[in-house]
Amino acid sequence: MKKIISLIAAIGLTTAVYANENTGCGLGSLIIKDQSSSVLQALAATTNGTSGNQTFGITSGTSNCNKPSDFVSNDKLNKFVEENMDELALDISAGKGETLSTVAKLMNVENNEAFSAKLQSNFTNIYSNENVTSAAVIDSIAKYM
Amino acid sequence: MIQLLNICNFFNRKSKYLLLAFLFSSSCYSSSDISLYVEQNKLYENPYWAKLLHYRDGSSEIDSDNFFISKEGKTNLKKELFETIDSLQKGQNNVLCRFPLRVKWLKQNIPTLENKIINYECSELNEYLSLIDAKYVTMVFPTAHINSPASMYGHTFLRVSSSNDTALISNAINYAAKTNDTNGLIFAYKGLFGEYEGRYSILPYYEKIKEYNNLEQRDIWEYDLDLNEEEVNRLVLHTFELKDSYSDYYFFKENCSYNILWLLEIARDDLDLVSKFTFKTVPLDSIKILKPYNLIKESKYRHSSMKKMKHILEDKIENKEFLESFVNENKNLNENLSVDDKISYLDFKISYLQYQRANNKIEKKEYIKKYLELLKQRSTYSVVSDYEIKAPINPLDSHDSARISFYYDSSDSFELSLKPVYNDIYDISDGYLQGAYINFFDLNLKKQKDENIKLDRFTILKIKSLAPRDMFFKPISWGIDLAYEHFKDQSDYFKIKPEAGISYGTSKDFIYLMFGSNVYYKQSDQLFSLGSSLGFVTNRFDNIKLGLEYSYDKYNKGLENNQFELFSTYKLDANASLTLKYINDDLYKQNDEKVKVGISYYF
Repeated sequence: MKKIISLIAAIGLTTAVYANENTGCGLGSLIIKDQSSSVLQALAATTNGTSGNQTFGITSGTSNCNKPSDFVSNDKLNKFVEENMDELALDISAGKGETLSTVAKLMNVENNEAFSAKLQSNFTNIYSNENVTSAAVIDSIAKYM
Repeated sequence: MIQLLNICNFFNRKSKYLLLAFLFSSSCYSSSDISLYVEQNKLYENPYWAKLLHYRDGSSEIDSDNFFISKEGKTNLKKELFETIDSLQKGQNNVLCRFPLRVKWLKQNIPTLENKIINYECSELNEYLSLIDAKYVTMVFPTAHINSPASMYGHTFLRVSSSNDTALISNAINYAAKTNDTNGLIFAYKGLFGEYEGRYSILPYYEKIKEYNNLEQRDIWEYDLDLNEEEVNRLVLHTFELKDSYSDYYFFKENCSYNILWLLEIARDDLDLVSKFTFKTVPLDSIKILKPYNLIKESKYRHSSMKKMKHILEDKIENKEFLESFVNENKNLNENLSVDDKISYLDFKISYLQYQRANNKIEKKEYIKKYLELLKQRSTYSVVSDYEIKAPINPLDSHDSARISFYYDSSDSFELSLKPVYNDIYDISDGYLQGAYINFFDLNLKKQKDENIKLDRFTILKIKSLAPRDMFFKPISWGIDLAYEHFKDQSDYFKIKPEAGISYGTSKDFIYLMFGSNVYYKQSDQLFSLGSSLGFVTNRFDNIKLGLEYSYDKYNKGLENNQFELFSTYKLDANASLTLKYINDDLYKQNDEKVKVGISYYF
């Protein structure tokens, strides 16, 4: 029986070992598949979100990045933008999206549509270069409130 | 005041206690009064106390010692209760801050307890409660992931949020096996046989969205639960109690979905959920079980990034002529394209670039550069990207995971089959991922005319993953079939059939071409074949599924086999269907034709 099960497991399923390249405070913080595990794939991995690091990492923990001048004490906002830089950029350029509306909510923006449109037309000022930080992004966005 | 009232009632009811109270005076209860009260009310037999400790069949399913105060806590509810109270009174073991829901429940049920325990500040707990700020609870179901059969059952976890407007920053409560193993074999073995520690964890919901929607390309269904404030509070407190504990993880039963149900049972004590699962806990079943309690308020669909890309590709772009060169060769946007198409081209390429990065096909630096360039270009069109991606059929309306079928065929024989899970090519696909078929332990018995009933087939595992290819995504379709089989009504063999191939199609229908090999083995005889099959399946019509397949296999011993099969399944309701099959097989007889008709019930 054990042999059979091992056989089942050997039929190319994937171990969900992900590298979270969430080291910087800028763009490029996508979760990516770990190269080393792409060949051997395993049961239960994807089914059950198995991973090595499991903690009580509740949202709005403290961040390691520089704080913006505005919203300095808004931990939720700072942490969220820091960890969703790519998603926020996408939403701003497209003029809509859940990451963007969450940021608007956290900044207490009333008119979401006008706000989104303004950000879209100023995308190049907000995400000005490849090394832009989350703090700079928040400060830029704050100008268009 | 309430406390006082309780005490009064208590005096009225308990004359024995009254006597004791006279002896010791009412302002000075000793701990033995509490013991007497607990004993008289048999509080340790209260079912909720058993739930708080995850008891089932006389012992707790939690396997770490730190979940119990008593050394015998895993199997002795009474000792556990008395030692818990004792610790509270002495201020030991940090029971007050470690097990806030137990303490709360004990205080509610033992009127005099509040005044007898040593109180102090629980800063970690308070911080946890204020950060999590839970008001709403949602059951979250990431659906199956095509081509990864381990995920074909899906997964469930809970989301607790403080506002419905900011779902992304809410918290996910997840239960999973803890491991660092990357070897698939070790992984599977340990997962099946309880050698991993299953632990609860909390993480931001947006991280789960990234994991499922963006990395694994799985759609997510969210089911908002109708829990009141008090119930949500209990759930949150109990989750805290579990934070340092573990239970042995079993892939089939005591898995993610099963352990999530414990949290709901504790939130609302009239729920009877975990006891319904004896051999297997299929995530989908663990959601449907909430239906009779009217616990599900609303269903929401959150599509994967892949769905968005396919939607743009299949439904939005009118002129695809320049798409491939734009995406793969970095050509500029062709000026002849309409504005809508230009935007769709850009939106597609942006998502595709993220997909490439997620799969490690492109370096971080290069990705950021390209990504930013594309977004800048996109932002110059002051048009909002608003993709209306239609939700597929709600998994709540799918058939249940186990099936019993009864077939009659034109050669005057009967078949009875029974399988515990899950969904095969003949089953109605509503609510399941199309093209992903997985069956375990499928038993098929056959009674032929003038013969005794016998085992026709026992499928240990059968997977078929038909993942359609398109311009950009080129997955390999594949299948595996392991069974003990009475081969073509001749003789019993052990069977292995691996196959691989390609599929093309849409969300409604698809064709596939597979190449495979049959290996039939028994001590005295072995049969091998090489062959291929070509098939078509459609879910285009409501309540009717149609499919056909032609296969050719060339065996050793000079055998050749052409087989043609046509089937149709008609959905009677979510859990019942009729299937009609026409089979033409020429292995031992030219044009051996059969018509089979069967009825299936799912449970």
